[in-house]
Amino acid sequence: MLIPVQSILLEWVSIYGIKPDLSLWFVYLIGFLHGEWKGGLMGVLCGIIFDSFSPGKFGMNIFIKGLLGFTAGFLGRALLETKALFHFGMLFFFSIIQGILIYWFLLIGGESVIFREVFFQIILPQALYDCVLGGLMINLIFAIPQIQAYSLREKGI
Amino acid sequence: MFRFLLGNRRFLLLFLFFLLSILLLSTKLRDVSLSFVEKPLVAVISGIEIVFSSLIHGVGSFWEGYVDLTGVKEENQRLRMEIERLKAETGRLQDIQFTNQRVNELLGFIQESPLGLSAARVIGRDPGNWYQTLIINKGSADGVHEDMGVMTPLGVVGRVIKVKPKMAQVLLMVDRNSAIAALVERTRDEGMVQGNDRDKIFMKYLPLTAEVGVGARIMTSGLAGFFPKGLLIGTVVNVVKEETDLFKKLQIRPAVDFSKLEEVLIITSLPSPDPKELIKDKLF
Repeated sequence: MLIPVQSILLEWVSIYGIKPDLSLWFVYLIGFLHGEWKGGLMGVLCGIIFDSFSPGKFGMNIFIKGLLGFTAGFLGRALLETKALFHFGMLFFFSIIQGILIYWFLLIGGESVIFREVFFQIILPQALYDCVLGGLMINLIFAIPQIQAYSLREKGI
Repeated sequence: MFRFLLGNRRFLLLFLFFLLSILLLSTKLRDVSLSFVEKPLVAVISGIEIVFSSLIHGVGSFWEGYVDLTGVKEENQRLRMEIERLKAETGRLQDIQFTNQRVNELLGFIQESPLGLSAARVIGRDPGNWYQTLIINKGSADGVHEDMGVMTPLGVVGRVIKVKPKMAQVLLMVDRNSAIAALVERTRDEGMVQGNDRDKIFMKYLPLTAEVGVGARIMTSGLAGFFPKGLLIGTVVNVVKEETDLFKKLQIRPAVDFSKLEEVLIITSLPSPDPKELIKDKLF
């Protein structure tokens, strides 16, 4: 369902051609709730689906999303309590890191990309979009008492 | 008779009323006004009538306004649902009509064109923000191969870059990885059209002496192989030239609106070259 929603429905909410990255929110959420390995695995799976439908190098999103899912899992285990703004900030940071990693992969792959252009046209707008919408959604999910209890159980509390 | 009447009061009363009615009738016949009798009588009776009428009307309104309304409320709801259903049906039929119109135009274009064309529907777009691509519903099972050109009756769209059995991915002309050999229609100056990831495309490597202005049409030159010669790419909106540039650069508005694409045409075969043109090329 992720790809049809990402590639079809999100076109309707794109701003100046920039869509939010649903798969990033999903990988972050799973990693934060379930830990490094599940987060990493979910990142790899999302990356496989993304790379299958994207013309970029196969493996780029697998690596990047897997790494971000693993990192989110590490953060989830390390932090007991988080403030509401935490997830906004983390999603912004993760989206920026994802953008920079994609830029490096494209550069290594021989594509002509100018960092200043892609940063202001793609990386930063997407990070802001992911931060606002994704942060809101994740905070809403974490506000559900069952999710909070599940999160504490997963952390061994 | 008088003795009978005087002795019998009931019959006397009856006789008197009979006489009175004959008298009244006779006065009416002779147009004698009896308004001194009628007016007070009518006033009293009409007053009573007004009271009764208001009472009955009030009871009737109460009945219609409250008791009978339950039926009206249900009918109202039923009619509202019917209106919503009909509105949705009208919308659907209008959509079918527009699709029909578009498909007929495409069919007409396919039949008239010398190119081998295959129509496909756009079923999705790139899931990320780094590439400008479309996903179409035809693939290798339908004879689609990589590097086939994609167009609409309005102009060039892009080329096929990835093919799966039942779907294919098309790189749009506006993507930074896209490059199409092009020429200016009027002056025949050649260059390369490249995208910049948004809705702008640029024609690069034009000679500085090229006389091109705003409004000039840019066509495919047919050199790259994806597209035949003469397909419209767009029109010039700006001429970009800096002091240190070795070439002129043109900003072009694409002929196709990529945000509204629903059907596209895949160029499955190019027309055979005219033998006279081939000989002319060899000689000159």
